[in-house]
Amino acid sequence: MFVTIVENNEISAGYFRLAIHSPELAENTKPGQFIMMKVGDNYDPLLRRPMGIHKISNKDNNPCVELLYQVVGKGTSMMSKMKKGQQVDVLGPFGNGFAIPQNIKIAVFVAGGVGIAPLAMLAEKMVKDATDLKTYLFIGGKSKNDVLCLDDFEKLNTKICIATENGSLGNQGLVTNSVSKFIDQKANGQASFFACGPYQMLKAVSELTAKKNIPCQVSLDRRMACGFGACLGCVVKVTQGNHGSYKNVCTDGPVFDANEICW
Amino acid sequence: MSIEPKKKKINLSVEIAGIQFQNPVLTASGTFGYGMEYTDFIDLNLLGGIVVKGLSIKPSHGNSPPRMVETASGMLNAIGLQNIGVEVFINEKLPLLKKFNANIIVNFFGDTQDEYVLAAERLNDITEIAALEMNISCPNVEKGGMTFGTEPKITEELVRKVRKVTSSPLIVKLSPNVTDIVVMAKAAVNGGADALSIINTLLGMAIDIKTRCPMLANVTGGLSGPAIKPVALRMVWQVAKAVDIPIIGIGGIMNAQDALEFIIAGATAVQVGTANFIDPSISVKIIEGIKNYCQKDKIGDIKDLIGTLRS
Repeated sequence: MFVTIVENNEISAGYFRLAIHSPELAENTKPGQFIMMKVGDNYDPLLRRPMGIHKISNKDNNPCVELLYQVVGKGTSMMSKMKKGQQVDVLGPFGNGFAIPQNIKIAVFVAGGVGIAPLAMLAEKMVKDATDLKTYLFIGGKSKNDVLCLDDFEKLNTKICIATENGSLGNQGLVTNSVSKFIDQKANGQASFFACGPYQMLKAVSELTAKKNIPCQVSLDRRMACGFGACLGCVVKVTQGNHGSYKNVCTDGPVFDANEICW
Repeated sequence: MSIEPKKKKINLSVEIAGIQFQNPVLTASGTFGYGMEYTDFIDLNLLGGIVVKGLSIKPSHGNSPPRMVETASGMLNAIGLQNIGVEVFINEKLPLLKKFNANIIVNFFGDTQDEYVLAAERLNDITEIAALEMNISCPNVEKGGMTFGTEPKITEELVRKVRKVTSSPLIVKLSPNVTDIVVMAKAAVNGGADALSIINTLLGMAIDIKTRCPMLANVTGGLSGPAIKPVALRMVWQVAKAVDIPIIGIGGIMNAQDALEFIIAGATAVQVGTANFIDPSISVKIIEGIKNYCQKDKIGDIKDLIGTLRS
């Protein structure tokens, strides 16, 4: 379907927030789901790009969904040049999205770089729907330029812990060091973790939470050709599955229980 | 009394190996799952045929990821023929798929000649299956796969063995990774093929220069998409001149114009592959496009267009 871009702004060097007007997507998208976006109208790039939904919002009374993306290659570079008012071809929403546990008391979000994108929508929904929910955000990046969306979590009264590899904001080092300390000191059976970011970060969070039997959902990012379960190009190795040892990140995920993945 | 000028009805039906297809547009194996993956996007009843994901006698896990990467106007894949196996297909997928008008063609393969024969035997005489498509050309599996499709003697021998155990129409899908596709086509014909699917993917690779690692865990993969269309078209044209059985043209078909090129080159039907990933409703749009072309060019029957390349 063709939808109209209502905003495409650089929010930090190399990171853009793109909003598209779509009542259908705004109505039907759950946190953690994604759309497949055609970039350009010729054969190079050929395939659609999987883009996680970052937020659902209202702009001038138009229901919108927002994407948050980092310019990393040809597709995202072309996306960054898209203009307000331009039509763009999208399919979706696809994927399972996060499962929100009932009566959850403590939610811990762990984000690396642009991995914050789906967690912002998830946190907002969880805080809105729950009573008495305590939220924590552990967010990391190479430098302060890569630490995004803090204001979204401040609004939710989330306790925020920042780590940057060069020390330009928050603790110096990897975000998983802070997560490790938190788990040792504070986390208990009441907490649930939700993580999105680089593979190595997800792997580390998965190991840390597994040690204490803390539930943890991870959102994976994979190259995809279709996004709806036909190409089998995006698979991830799982500990068990119905159709062998791989699952589709597009239709079985992109969100998985961390202990389901063969890291 | 004046008569309203009527839009002439176009006959899009074609026949391959005794099977009637309501139109010449099929979906290619490996790009259309087991069909049901597409029901949210298109009415499967409108398709000429659905060629399901390649099946083996036993289920197969496929290759390690990463399995796909985009290249210029194309994509490389090394899925490794991940599939649910013949038995699960017959019991779980076929009952859902048979409700539609489209002909169901089952693509199958084996790691050994015996496995090809076993799969063909099990798939034989199932009324809902219109035809079998024998994959002797997958570049992404270690054993068998493409080697069965690159040695003409082995091709002929294998097709003959499969021919003996099935009464279903037998389509052989050829590999383009050969010196002379015509030699391979003739070998398949001699073995008893009823039709040929031309072409499977072209063997290729891509490298990440930051890590100096291959982009695919399998190192090499099959190239598909518009990048390969000229090669596929040339091969269809060459084979069409050399053999008397019907050809199904495959390779980078993105729109009706591409499909028509294959038909003019000599294909009786076409399969749409990679384009399904980008627009899951593209096959239906291609059928409409072919109809419009016929209408405009006053072609009453698509069969009149097959192999009409002018010099």
